[in-house]
Amino acid sequence: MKRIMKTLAIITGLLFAAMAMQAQTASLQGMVEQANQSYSSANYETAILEYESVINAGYESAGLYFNLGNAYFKTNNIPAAILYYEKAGKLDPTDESIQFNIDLANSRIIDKLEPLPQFFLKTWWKAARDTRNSDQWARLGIISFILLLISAAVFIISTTILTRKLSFWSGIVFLGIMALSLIFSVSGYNEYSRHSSGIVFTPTVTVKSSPSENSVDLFVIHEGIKVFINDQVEGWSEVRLANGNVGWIKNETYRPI
Amino acid sequence: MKRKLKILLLFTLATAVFAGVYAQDIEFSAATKNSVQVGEQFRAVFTVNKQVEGFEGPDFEGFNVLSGPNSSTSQSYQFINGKMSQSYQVTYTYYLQAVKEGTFNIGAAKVVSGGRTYESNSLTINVSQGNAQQSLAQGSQRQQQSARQGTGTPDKNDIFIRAVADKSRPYQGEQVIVTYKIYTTVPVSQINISKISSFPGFWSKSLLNDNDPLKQTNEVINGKEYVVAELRKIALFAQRSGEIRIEPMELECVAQIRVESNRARDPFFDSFFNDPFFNRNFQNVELKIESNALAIDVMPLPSTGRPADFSGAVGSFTISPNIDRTELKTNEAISLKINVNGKGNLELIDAIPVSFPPDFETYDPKITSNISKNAAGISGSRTFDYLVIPRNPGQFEIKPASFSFFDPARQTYITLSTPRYDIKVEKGADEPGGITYSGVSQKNIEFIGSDIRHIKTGNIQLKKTNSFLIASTAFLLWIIIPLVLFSAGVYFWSVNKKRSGNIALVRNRKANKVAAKNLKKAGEYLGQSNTDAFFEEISRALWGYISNKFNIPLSELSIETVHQRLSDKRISDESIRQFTDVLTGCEFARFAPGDKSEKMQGIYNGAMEVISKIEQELK
Repeated sequence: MKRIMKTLAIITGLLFAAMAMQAQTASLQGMVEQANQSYSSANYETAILEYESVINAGYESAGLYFNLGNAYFKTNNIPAAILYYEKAGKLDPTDESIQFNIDLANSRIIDKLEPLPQFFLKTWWKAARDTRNSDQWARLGIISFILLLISAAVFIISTTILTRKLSFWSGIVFLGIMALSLIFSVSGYNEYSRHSSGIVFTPTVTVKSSPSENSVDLFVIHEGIKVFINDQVEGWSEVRLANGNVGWIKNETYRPI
Repeated sequence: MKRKLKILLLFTLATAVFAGVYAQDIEFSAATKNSVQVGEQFRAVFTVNKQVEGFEGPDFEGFNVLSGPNSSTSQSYQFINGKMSQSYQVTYTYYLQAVKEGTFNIGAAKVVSGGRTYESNSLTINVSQGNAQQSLAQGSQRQQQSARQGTGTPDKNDIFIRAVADKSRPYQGEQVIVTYKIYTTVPVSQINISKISSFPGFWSKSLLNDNDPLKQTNEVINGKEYVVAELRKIALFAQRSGEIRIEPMELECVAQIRVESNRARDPFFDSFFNDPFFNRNFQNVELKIESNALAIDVMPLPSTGRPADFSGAVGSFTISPNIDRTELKTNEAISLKINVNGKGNLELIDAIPVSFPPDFETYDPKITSNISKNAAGISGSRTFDYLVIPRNPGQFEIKPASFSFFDPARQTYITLSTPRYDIKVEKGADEPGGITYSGVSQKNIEFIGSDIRHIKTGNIQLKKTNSFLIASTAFLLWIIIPLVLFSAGVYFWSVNKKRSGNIALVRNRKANKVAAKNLKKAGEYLGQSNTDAFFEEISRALWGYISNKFNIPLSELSIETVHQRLSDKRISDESIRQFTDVLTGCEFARFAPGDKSEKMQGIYNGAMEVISKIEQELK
């Protein structure tokens, strides 16, 4: 009897928690809509505050980051616009509008870089991975895992050679799909959580040859440029630009994507 | 031919007459000393009585040109007994120095006026050897004239100039008319404006023509009757706000002033000489008079309610747009005329921006002004003629163009707009009609502007920051739960299968293995030539195979049942016959006496063959 009461209490508690969460997301959804309206009536400053309040509440989405990027773009804050576009692109690499706006915003910054050509396998790998985001890959992995189990069951149960053959080969295929999906999913997740790139926010930054103020000045970059972070040492980051140049900048000059 | 000649003659005659008439208007003369001494400095003066466009001096051979040509313009008005006359003069002066003795000819100078060239008379100068140290003490004629300056000075109230502005607090861009009037009670001649007011911060337009006769009126001020004439009347348009001071105008004139006679000895003579006709007591006095300065406080235009397209037009205007056609073929031209009519700073109005469809070829508008000036200020019209050529067929729209101005009288901004025009462009006839399209030039889509894509307005799926399915417990559960279910399912299935004694399936799957095992044993016996054991194994393999495969109890086995079961399973008759043959052959050899060793190989092969054949057909 006591045990039943205990489980009941736990279940109701969980239910309440779920409902509270539901209510919170609903109110945040309303906030996003309100921000969209502010944006549409050209109150970009208000829109920025409203979008950011949703992000500060601990929620995110590609659309949210995209809209915030747009609001920053309209207020002519190009570095912030690029930062949020990039965040949106990380969550949804397939969205063509996000890519368009990234390109457009990048045409408004000072530095113009010729991107270094990457090894074609790496490009293909990334292109294949970015057809879906990490969650979509994980879902595909789960589905193919379940299908794999079903195929195995059919293989065990079936009596005719044809069904056994079919179930065997489909099992192999599902295993392959599952492995690839999970690898892509983990890779996308790693890329997201590693914060391996950033956008420079300081108007002018001198890139140094080593993590020290006294070291040699290598070159100068400006706000809005994207940097890839190789290494971090005591407040300094070793960054690589799209054109392959490498140097050290201070951590406070950029914001990680 | 004769007729042509006649026309030509007439034409030349006409031009000659015209030229004659025109030439009468212009007097262009040269004057200098006839004889000078070597080293003497003197002047050569070219005078023309009209405004001219170009002056080309002659070649002064035999003289040093010390300076020149120095041009000066003088304009004078004369009032004599209330009648006015005026003259206009431009003089070009050279300062020359004679270098050597002899008689020199100076050629004619040329001026251009109204597209025609006029020549002055030529000059002949006799240079004689003489005292080289002659100074330039000649001085101007006026100085000599003014040497006659008398002792009398006119009263300030007898002659003065007034500058009057019709508004003291205009709006920026509003028209202010400033009039300079001369008031006089005495005859005045040779009015020379020596310093004209400058109008800093104003755009100015004179309302009186230089050659117009001066209008005169009579006015009585403080019991004195004055002759009043407007010397200058200027429309001013302030370009900036704030207080602007207009400097006074200065002029020089010669006034005739009656001087009281000091030599009046004889009343008779006195009265006689006082007769105006004979009176010599009038004195010409050269005067310098100055007008008052004006201070104009220009108010800025109100910032409230200022339309976005306001570009500085102030006054009262109307617009009348006119389009020559709205239906046309490609490559034909449309002419849209917008006529701005009214009073105000017309000449400062910029072309009204009209947004034509981007696909149209547009040209800068042709601007024609028809501006008339009168005492009330500047009015007239300004026409903007826009020429556009549609290059592609289709339905187009010329959006309304708006023109805004500030009306100082009503103190509001007024916006007028043209109507919307719908243009229907059809394909022109001159284009190749689908015969040769190989050379048709294609156009890229023209981008009129670039902007970011609009925000996403659909339902935005929010999720917790940094929450990924792959790194969540949900993912683990999704993997573990199906796996557990699967294992449990497989386990229960096998247990259940065993418990229900479903041996048929097991036997079916065992059939091949058992048959293969028996046949293998038989093969061994074949090698050992153990005939009995061999046939027994073959028999067991065949019967066992059928029994296991089709789940027939051994007790029910017979050739007939085998035949029936195999037929049911759609095994070909040939295979069935072969199977029964091998089976009966085996049974026969088993129980028949005699040497059976030569049959062993055939039966072994036959059994192997038939089992694999049936297995094949069962699939």
